[in-house]
Amino acid sequence: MPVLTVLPDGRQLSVPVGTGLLKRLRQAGFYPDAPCGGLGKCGKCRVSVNGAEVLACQTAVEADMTVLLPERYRLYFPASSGKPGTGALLAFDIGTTTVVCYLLSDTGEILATASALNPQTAFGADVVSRIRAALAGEGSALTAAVRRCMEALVGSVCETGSTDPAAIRRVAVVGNSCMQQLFLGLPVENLARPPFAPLLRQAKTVACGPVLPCCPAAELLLVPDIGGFLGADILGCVLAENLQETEELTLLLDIGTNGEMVLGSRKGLLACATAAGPALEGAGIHFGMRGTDGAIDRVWVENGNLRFHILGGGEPKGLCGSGLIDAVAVFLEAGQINRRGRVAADLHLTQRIFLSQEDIRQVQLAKGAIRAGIELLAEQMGVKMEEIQRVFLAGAFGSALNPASACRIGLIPEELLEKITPVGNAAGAGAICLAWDESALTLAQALAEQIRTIELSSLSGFPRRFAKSMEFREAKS
Amino acid sequence: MIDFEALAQAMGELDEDTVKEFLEQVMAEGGSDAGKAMDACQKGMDTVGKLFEEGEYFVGDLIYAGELMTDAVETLKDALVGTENTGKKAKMILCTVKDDLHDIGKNIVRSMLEAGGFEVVDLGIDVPPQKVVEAAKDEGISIIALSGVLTLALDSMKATVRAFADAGMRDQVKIIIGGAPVSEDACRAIGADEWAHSPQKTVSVCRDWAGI
Ligand code: B12
Ligand code: FES
Repeated sequence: MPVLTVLPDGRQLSVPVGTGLLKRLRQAGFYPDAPCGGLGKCGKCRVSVNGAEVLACQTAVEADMTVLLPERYRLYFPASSGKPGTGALLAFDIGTTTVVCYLLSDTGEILATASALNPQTAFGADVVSRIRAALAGEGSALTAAVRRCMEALVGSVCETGSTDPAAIRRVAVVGNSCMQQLFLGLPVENLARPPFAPLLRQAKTVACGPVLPCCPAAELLLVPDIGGFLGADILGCVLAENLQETEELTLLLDIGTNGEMVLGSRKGLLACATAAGPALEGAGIHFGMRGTDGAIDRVWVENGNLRFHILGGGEPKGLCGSGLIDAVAVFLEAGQINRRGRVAADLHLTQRIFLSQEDIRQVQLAKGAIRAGIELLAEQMGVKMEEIQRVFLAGAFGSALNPASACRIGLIPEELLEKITPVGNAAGAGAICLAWDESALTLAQALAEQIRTIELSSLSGFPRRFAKSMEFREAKS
Repeated sequence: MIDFEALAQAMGELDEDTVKEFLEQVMAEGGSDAGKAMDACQKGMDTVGKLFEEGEYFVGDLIYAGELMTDAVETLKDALVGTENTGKKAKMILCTVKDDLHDIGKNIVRSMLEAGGFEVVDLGIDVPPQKVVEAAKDEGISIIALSGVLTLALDSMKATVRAFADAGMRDQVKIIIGGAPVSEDACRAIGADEWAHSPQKTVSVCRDWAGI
């Protein structure tokens, strides 16, 4: 059997002839980024094999092989912060990209927080590629990956909060339907085909030990999903923001690959998912990158000069989502992008980093889908845009983006600008509520049944609205 | 007398009001020019396709164009029935494959194909392989166009191509696939005859196959 040597760790793995390199690395707990899910299209799973650059997903191990992984491809390192105290409860938000874990005291005080990249990113960036991988027999590998990550996070927060994991009483988990099902080791066939009905419809309390052995004494709270693409995470956001009790007509937006949104007040809530794709987070954009060191995260004009901010200082490597949206807003205002999204030439931020025509097109598709979702949600509820009193932007991305830029590019209607408040990780906040407030799970169940959903693909008005929403407002000359 | 050049131009520029005015004028004058008006609209669609190919237009413009074309057919319908020789159009099948409900791309391609002289049998969305095979068999159609935007749609496309093989019909049909995840590699893996992203290429490939 060939031997695979993984550098820089120097670990040696035996590999049956013909096994895919990416697959074997994942089995061994190395989780290289593989955004397109191994289709060979994105080119981001590049590694060095015997000195030559190859795509890990397109390479089979036929003979002894040495692979050098870039630093960032090695095991994820949970980052943790916190204060002393005795923890008793855990809350998790399993995001498609990031997993966040909170250690709480009995009274719900946050003692420690840790987050890590979801190692399932080695199976693809979006949920559909994860579903596809699961259908291709990688289901248990996906389950193992996320559980391993969660155990590492538990270890990290418990160390920071000087707590024995065995003493944890309750663990509450929220995530989108796919993340929840993969975490629980459930099949995901239901998410692969219409009508995308969710499996988890009933709030439940089960033993945590079989799922996360590090917390043998805890009970695990399972939060119901609203729909196949409206998961327990958005339900957690509703719970955290108390939308079901608010007098004011509120729009809750979680702008991400799957763009979930809820509109309403105590008089009723209406939700939909609009599949925007990951472009607004920088994926599929030529110089796009995650919000890590070297990413341009803000762009503005000062005295007629283009200025930008780089995360971690140093040389700019690319643009993360918030920087991308700022940049498009700036170039629009400069008259360099027309109503149809046409540019005359590449739009340079630096000599090296620019936005291409294709990048602008990707932004148009993504913002068009979200904007169309917002408008149709309001229309279905029978309210006018200006009647919306508050807009809550949930999620890490929602908190990072500049509301003025989001409105300038038409992602959010401009008349709502003054009403926007970023609310941070609302899904995580929902998980926290669930962990310490015993009545929250019952409320979650009631909400899952009360929130009405609309299926955008069933609305004949969608294409037209989508077309209109892809346009830009040109600069006033 | 109607300025058909101007109509074609208005269509190409997606000037909805002007197109509507022209078409209403055609109908007000008795509809005898409906055929010519249709030709002008199709010429306009050609311009739209070209501008898309050149990067000037984008998906939103294609959606408008498709709707404008559908409206045009609707307005001229009654007058067209008499004048048109429906028998001479080439027939083909188009659908979104199983488990995929996205139809914006498919509908755009349909308007372009119709403008390009095809009678398109649109089987809709989420269409199982067997249904495509049966439709081809029942109507004796040999050009099949499959659309899909989910990564999972690639699997359904493969299943559809296989269904034709299983029915012993693979060499009687030509299959073209399209939609965002489709690529040269995907086309090979799926075993389709051709693939395209641009509606223009789709039309020219199908016309080649149909010999029109
Ligand atoms: C609009 C949209 C929707 C609309 C669909 C409305 C409708 N009636 O079609 C709504 C909001 C309803 C929707 C729902 C969903 N969507 Co959606 N959606 C999109 C979006 C934003 C644009 C797709 C689109 O219409 N593009 C424009 C058209 C014109 O492009 P096109 O289809 O590729 O067609 C062009 C060419 O390919 C070619 N062509 C097309 N067909 C054919 C056929 C032939 C034969 C040929 C030759 C050429 C050809 O011609 C066209 C013109 O150039 C994309 C994200 C993005 N940024 O692209 C996600 C996206 C496609 N959706 C996605 C998903 C997952 C979904 C959902 C399953 C889940 C959800 N989040 O709600 C649901 C359910 C859909 C379903 N029921 O199947 C994912 C797919 C991910 C993947 N890897 O598979 C995407 C990529 C977003 C993402 N990354 O999450 N979606
Ligand atoms: S090219 Fe290998 S994962 Fe995208």
